[in-house]
Amino acid sequence: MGYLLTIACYIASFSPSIALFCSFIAHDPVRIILFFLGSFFWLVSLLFSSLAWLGLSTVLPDTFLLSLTVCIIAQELSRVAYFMLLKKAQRGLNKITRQGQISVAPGVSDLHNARHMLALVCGLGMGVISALFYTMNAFAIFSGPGTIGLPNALKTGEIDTNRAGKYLPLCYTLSAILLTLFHVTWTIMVWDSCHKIGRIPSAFVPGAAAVVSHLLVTFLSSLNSRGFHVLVFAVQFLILLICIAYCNVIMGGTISSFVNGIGQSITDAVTLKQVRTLIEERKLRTQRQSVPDEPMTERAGTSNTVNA
Amino acid sequence: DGFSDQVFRTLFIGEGNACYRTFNKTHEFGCQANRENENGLIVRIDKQEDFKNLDSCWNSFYPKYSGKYWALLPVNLIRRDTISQLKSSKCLSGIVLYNSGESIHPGDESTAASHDAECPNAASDYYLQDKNEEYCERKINSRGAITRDGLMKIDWRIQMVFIDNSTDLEIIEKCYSMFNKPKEDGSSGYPYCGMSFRLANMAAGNSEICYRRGKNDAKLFQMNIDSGDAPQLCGAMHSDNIFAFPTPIPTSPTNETIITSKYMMVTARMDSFGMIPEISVGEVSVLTSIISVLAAARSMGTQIEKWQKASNTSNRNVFFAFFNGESLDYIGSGAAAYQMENGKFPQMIRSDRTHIHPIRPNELDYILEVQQIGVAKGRKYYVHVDGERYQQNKTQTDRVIDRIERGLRSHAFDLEKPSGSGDRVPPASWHSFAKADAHVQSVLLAPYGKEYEYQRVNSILDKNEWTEDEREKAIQEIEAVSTAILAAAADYVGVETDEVVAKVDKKLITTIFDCLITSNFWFDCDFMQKLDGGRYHKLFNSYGFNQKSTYISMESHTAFPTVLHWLTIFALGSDKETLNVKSEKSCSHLGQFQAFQMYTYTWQPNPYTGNFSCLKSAIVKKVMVSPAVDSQTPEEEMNTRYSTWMESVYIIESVNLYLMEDASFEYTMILIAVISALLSIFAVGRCSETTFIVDEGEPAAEGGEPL
Repeated sequence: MGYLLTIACYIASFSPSIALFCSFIAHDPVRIILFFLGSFFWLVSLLFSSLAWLGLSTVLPDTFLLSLTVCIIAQELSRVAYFMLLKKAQRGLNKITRQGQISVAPGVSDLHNARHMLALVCGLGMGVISALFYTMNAFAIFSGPGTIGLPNALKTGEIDTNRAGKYLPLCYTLSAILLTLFHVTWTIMVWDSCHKIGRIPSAFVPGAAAVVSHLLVTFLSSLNSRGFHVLVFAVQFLILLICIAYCNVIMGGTISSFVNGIGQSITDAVTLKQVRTLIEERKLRTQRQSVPDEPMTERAGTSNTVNA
Repeated sequence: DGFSDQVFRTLFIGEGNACYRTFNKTHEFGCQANRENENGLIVRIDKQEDFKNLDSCWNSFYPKYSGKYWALLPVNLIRRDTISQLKSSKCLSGIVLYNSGESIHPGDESTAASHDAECPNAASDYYLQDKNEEYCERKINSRGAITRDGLMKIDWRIQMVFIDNSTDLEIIEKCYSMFNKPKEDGSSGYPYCGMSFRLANMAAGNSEICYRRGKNDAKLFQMNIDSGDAPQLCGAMHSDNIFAFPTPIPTSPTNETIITSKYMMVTARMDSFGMIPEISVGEVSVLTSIISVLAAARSMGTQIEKWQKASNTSNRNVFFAFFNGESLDYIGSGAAAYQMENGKFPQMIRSDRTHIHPIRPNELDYILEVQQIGVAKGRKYYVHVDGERYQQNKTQTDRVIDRIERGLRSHAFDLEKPSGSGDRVPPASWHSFAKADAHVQSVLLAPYGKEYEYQRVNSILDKNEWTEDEREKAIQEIEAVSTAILAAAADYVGVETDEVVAKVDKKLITTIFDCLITSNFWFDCDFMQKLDGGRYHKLFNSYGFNQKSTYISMESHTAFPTVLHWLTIFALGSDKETLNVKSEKSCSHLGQFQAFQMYTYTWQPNPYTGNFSCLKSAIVKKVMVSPAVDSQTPEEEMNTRYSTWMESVYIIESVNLYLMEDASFEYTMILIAVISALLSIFAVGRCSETTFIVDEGEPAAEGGEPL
């Protein structure tokens, strides 16, 4: 192993997050603050989870499942708490971000109809920090000479291939990508519930879906230690797709528009549409530049004519 | 610490269990960690044939592995024919040394494994410095030495660590056999068991550089503002030396320097070393000789009045000196000779009041040293003198030698006497004093003639399995040598030699032999446990404090000087005058209120009964630093007449075992990273602000309150 591997792992794990951050957050100071506030809320939930784990482990002999459940609930509650905090703060934020007046914070985007965007920003903050916590110790180890597994192997007399091996960095990387994107979708779902609660009877559905999918994904992860890596990742990826589709529905789309969108994306990718567009744009720009300027005298003459 | 408990199996390595840097005036030796020699795959070298794999870098076993190796190697495979391969190998990170469990007997001639040079202390030899001889003319240790200059004088590219703990060794062996042991078809595959170890030295270069950088003015900018201390980079090798005066030194009025007495110094060295310096018990190099001197001292101590009376009459005294650092260019004796020349031995002259009369080099008549006792071939001993000096004072020296012969004969041992004026003294403490005075005579009693018979002088393998016969023979030799010492000393001071005076306590010799040599640790036997009486504390987590080691080291991090000090107090101390002292506090008060510090009062238990009493003795435990590297003696700075050995301060880390995976997967991961980045750019590039900002027709949201 080595530093090259660690760098590769970090790039692979956080590419989606970086792309989202650069596209939607980096240009807006308020969103940057909200992004990091999301990370903070997730850390607070982790603190409560660890305290709960500590407390439970003094009472019960095996607290793994219970602690895991408590941890998931704590994370979802932190999302709710963040929503409530933002709701309280949104009037003030609105004053800062309102366009068309003298803004105290130039460069910020306004908050009109931006609840899903806010959910994306805050969810990404939570996702990034959770993925970072999940991976950073492992990636630090990968930078050294060794990999996980020897102490356990010496104890048991055999190596547990499900918890060690050369594909371990890949497992961590895929998990990190999934975790980040899941947090975005869960936040959109939970906040949608929070937003609609008391307005429509089915408001709890997105929130419940978030909690259930969170529990499902987490307990599926625990199957990794039994060697079902491929199956677990396949199912988790499927759940992620379902969650994204559901978020698309929450944001006013339909399942068919989502499927069409994906289909179109794949077609565009295969036909290199972005590249073609880029080339065409450049061609147009070149053509525009190749049109000669009118002579100064003529321009001046025209100006004189207009003035006259 | 993150996942480290799931990655590393950590084995704690105490101070002294690994090879580190040492220096003399011109060179640096030992080991230093760097990026090249920290990590490696564990392999085994169990027998001579396995060294072929070292030549081929184990390519046939681990064809896909291109890194370095840590070789698990029993100490007894470090031999003349293997050392060059270890030194020159480019695929070794280091070696993990361990005791093979194969028993070596004192008379075993098949294991030539002295880690000392062919000519020990050649650079400090009196004859070389007096230009009477070329460098290393007499190869006295040629039979045993593994290399010409000794293993302490090698600047290794690799690291070395010594594993003494059997549990730790089993873990390494298990790790090897689980992952690295080639299958029956000779192949093996990932994952492999790897090991990392790091010992970082603070100093580099040589003693001169180190000494210069260690001065306070050179360290001004490194000084800690709060404590005022500057970090120590290295230090002179130094430790306690023990001087015992059965007949206390006379005192002199202020400023009087008249020579009033003559002395015979009975001496034995108290240090040894190995390839990893700390790892050396020095059974024959040190301990047997010390036991014989202790037995003689005890015999003298039981009849001390006779000796004192004779000394007072003849003005001739005998005293015992146990020098430390003798195997490293005579650190102890060199410093003692310097102090004698400057009137500082055993204490500084006090011009304001009555002081102990300083012993000067010209007051030393004889230096009676014993070496390598217990391994004589047959029943023959040799006495070594300097031929020229012997001729100058032949009559008196012959008389001393005659008494030694009688002493040996009384136990059925023969003595080969000096042959003539061409005789040279083998490496011995005498060389230090010979440089200081032209008349001091050497009487070196040892079981070798022109060359050492014992082939593991100063070696990790100077640790033997003694059969009952070998043990009995060694005890007889110690007894005979003790008797010879007593006989020579008695004749010198004028005590009439009779059966009582020359009677040595064989039972005591047997007991101390079993305690110091047969036992696993100094305080394992009943005798030593009673002598300890709960006073010994393992203050440092160092090899010298937890295992038997006689290495001098840089600090007082070894237990042996304490052990020897207590044994000497037992041998020569007396409670006849202090029977009324019933507490440790009162005992220490007696020492504090002396007009001049001639006696020491020690609250020490009797090793037979365990009862404490206040023992009065004239024993000095003195830290001796070679004048060449002592900041107190700047005028002698780097003077090669004295030892210039120094040691680096070092930071030792634990051994970590871990699993090594195939590094080729790194490239796959880089590819995955690139794909992930491209996909992310592509996917996110298709989205825009409008993807997430949806007008749901909510008035508040349109007004800017989205939630």
